[in-house]
Amino acid sequence: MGVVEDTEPPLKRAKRDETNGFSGSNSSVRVSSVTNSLGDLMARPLTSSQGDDETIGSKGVIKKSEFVRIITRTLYSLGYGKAGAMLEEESGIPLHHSFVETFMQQVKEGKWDESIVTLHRIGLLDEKDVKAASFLLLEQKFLELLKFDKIAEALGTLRNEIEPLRINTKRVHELASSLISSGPGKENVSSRSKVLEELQSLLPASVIIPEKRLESLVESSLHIQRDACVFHNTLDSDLSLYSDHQCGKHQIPSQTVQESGISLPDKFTVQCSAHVSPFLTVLTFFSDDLFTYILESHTDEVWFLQYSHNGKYLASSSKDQTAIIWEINEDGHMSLKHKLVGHQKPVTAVLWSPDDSQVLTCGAEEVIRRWDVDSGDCLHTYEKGGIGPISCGWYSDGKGIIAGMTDRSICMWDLDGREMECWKGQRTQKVSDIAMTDDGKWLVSVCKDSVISLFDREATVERLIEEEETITSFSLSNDNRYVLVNLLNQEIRLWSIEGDPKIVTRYKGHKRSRFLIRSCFGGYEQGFIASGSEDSQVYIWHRSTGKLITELPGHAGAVNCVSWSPTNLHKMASASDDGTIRIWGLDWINPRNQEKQVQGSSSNGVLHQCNGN
Amino acid sequence: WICLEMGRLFVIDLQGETYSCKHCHTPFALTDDLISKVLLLISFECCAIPELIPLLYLFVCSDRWICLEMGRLFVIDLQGETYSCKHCHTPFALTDDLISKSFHCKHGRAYLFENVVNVTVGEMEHRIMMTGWHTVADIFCVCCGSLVGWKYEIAYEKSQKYKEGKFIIERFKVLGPDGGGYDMNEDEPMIGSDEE
Repeated sequence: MGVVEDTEPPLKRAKRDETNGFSGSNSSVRVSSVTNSLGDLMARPLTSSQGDDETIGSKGVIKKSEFVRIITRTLYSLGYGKAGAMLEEESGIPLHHSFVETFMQQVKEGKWDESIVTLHRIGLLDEKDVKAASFLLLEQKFLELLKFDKIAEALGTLRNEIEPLRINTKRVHELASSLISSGPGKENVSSRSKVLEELQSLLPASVIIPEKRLESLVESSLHIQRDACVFHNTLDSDLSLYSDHQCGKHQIPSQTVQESGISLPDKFTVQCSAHVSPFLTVLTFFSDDLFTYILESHTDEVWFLQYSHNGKYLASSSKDQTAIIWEINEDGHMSLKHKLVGHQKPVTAVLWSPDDSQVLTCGAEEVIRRWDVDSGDCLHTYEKGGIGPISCGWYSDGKGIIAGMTDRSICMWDLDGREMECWKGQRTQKVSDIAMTDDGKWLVSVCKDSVISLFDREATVERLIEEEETITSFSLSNDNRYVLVNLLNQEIRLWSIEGDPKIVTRYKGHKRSRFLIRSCFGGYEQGFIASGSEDSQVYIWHRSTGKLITELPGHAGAVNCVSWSPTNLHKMASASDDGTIRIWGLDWINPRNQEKQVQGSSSNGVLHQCNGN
Repeated sequence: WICLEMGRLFVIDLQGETYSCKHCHTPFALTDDLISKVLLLISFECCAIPELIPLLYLFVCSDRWICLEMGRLFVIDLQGETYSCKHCHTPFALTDDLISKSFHCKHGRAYLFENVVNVTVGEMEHRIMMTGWHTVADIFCVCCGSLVGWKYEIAYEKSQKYKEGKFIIERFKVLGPDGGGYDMNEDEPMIGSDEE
C-alpha cells in the first residue's frame, strides 16, 4: 500500500476538517481504510495541500503533490479512469478538491444553480474569477433554456441572475436580443464539455489542473533538448523520451555511401547481399550497371553542383564544357539523366529554375544557355556581342535571367532573350556572383572587391555588406534573411540582411588560396554550414556557434563546391578538381566507430568487402 | 618516394623519368633532388630556368601522373598600369603601389610594392639579406605557380622595419606596364643595391 508518511498528515487533517460539512464522510480514518473515497478523507482547504514541503527529484524543485496530481490528470485524459482513481487512492492525493469534483460533475449534468453554489464554496478564487465563471454558467443555462423554448425561464435567468453580475454587458445585450429574435438555434449552444473547458481556462490552474499539462511540460523539455543539440540533424519525429536527445556526429553526412537496400546485380547478390547493407562505405564498382556514389561522368574538373529545390535531381557543371543532370530515385539511386552539351567553354554554374523544370548554364565568359530538364534540350542561348557572362541567376518568378558580364555590367533578359535592363558603371570588378532572393525582394551582387550590394527592387534602394577582405563568392539562405560570404583570406562569414546588414558568425579552418571555393547552408533548419576546400576536404561547421564539426577527406583534388540536399537531411554532394562528385551520407556501420570508418574509407581504392570475402 | 597522406597520396619516382600533364601534355621534368618539403623544382617548357612550384599546386591525376592543378581560379582584376606574370599575364601589382625600384635579387632588379594580388604566400623562413636577418615568405603566381618574389613578414633591424607587410617582385619574373620584359645583362649596373 502507499507509503505510511503520505497518509499520516491527512489523518490529522481529517479530524480538523470534519466540521466543514462533508456529507457522508466516514470518520474511520484508519490508514487501511482503502474502501472509503479518499476524496472525503482528504477534506482539507485547498490552500494547504498535503505534502507541501515534500519534494521529489534530485534537485528538490518538484512538489510531490503537484507531480502526482498531474500524473492523475494525464491518466484520466488518456482514458484510464480506473488507473486514475487507483492512483488517487493509493497516493492519498486527490486530483481535485472534492468541491471541484462536485462542481465539474454538476456542470456536466447541467445543474447550473447547484454548480454556482459549489463555485462559491471553492476557496482560492478571487471575486473576478467567480463572477466570470458564474457568468459562463448562467449563460449556458440561458442558452439551454432558450433551446428548449423555455422563454419565460430564460428571461428570468437573464434578468435576475445574469444581469446583476454587472459584467460583460455587451454579451448581456446580445443574449437579450436573441430572446427577441425568434428562431431556434439562432445562438449556437456549445456543449457542456466545451463549457467545462472554458471554465478550466478561467479558473486558476491549482484549482482545476489544466488538461494536457504533463504533455506540455514534456514537450517544452524536448524543445530545450533539441535546441541544445549541437549536431541536431533529425526530424522531430525522431525525438524520444527515453533519453536526452543528443545527435551524435553520426547524424552528419560523413561517408561516401549508398542507401542500404540497394539492389545489386545478380552476380553479387548471392555472396554479398547479406553482408553488404550495413557495411557499405566507399565503393568503386567494376561494372557499368552498378550505381556508385562517386560519380565519375565528367571528364575534367567539376566546378559547380546544386540539388534541385525538390531534392529529386542534382545538376553539376564542369571544365569539360558540359553540365549533367542526375536523377535521384526514391531509394537513393542516382542515374545520369541528361548531359547538356553545347558550350565551348568551361561551365561555371548550373542553376535550377524556381519550379525545377529548367536549368541555366553559364559558359565562362561565353554565353548563357537555358535547358529543359525533361528533354535535355537547349531552349535558348543568351549572349551579348563582345562580352560574356561571369555569373548568372534566375528571376524569382522564373521569367527572367540576370547576369554579371565581363564589362562589369549587369544584364537582365526575359526568357525569349529580349534585354530588359542593363546596369553599368559603379562596379570595379567583374560581377563574380549574382542572385535574386526567391521572394523577389533583393538583387544581390558583388559590386566591389569587398562589397556586396543588396538592391531592394521595390524600394529601389541599395544596402551594402562591407567586408574587410576581397569577396570570392556568396550564397543565400532559404529564408532570404542571411548571406554566407566567402572571403579571399580563408574565412567564411554569415551576414544577416534583415535591417542593417550585420555579421553574425565566422567560420574558419578550410583552405583557399587560388580557387573559387563555394560554401552552402544545409541540414535541419539549415543549421549547418558546409564548404569545399583546397586541401581536398569537405568542411562542416555548426551554424550558430561557428564550431568546426568535421572535415571529410576522400577527394583527390580541391573541393570546389558543396550542396546539401534540401529534402534529405543526411545527404550532401561535393564537386572536385579530381573530376568526380561524391555523395556523402550517414555512416550506417557503427556510429561510435565513425572515426575509424573515416580513416578506412578515404583512399580511392576499392573496398574489398563487396567481393564477398 | 615522397608522399602526402590521405587522398592526396602521390608517389614520384625521383629517378629522372619524365612525367607529362594529362591535361595539357606539357612535359615536366623532375629533378632528383628534393629542394624542400613544400616545393618541387619543375621545368617549364617555355624557358630553361627551372621554377619552384609549391606542392599545393600539384595533384595526382592518376596513380603516376602529377600535374599542376588549375581549378577555377579566382583572379582579381587590376585596372590601370600593372606588372603581370610573364608566363600567364596574371596581373600582380599597380604601378601606383610601387615604393622602390632599388632592390636586388639574383636575377637582377627587384621592386618593392605596397600591395600585391593574385599570389599565394608560401611558408615563412628566416633569410639573411644584405640588410640583415628577415623573416620572409615566397610568393607564387596563383595561375601558373611560378615564383614571383617574396613578402617581408618580420624585419629584425629597426631601420628595416618599414618593409614589414610589403612585397618584393623580381623584375625578371614580370612584364612591365608597357608589356616589356627584363634582362639583367642589359641593365645598368646597380649602385648601392639594397637587397640580396
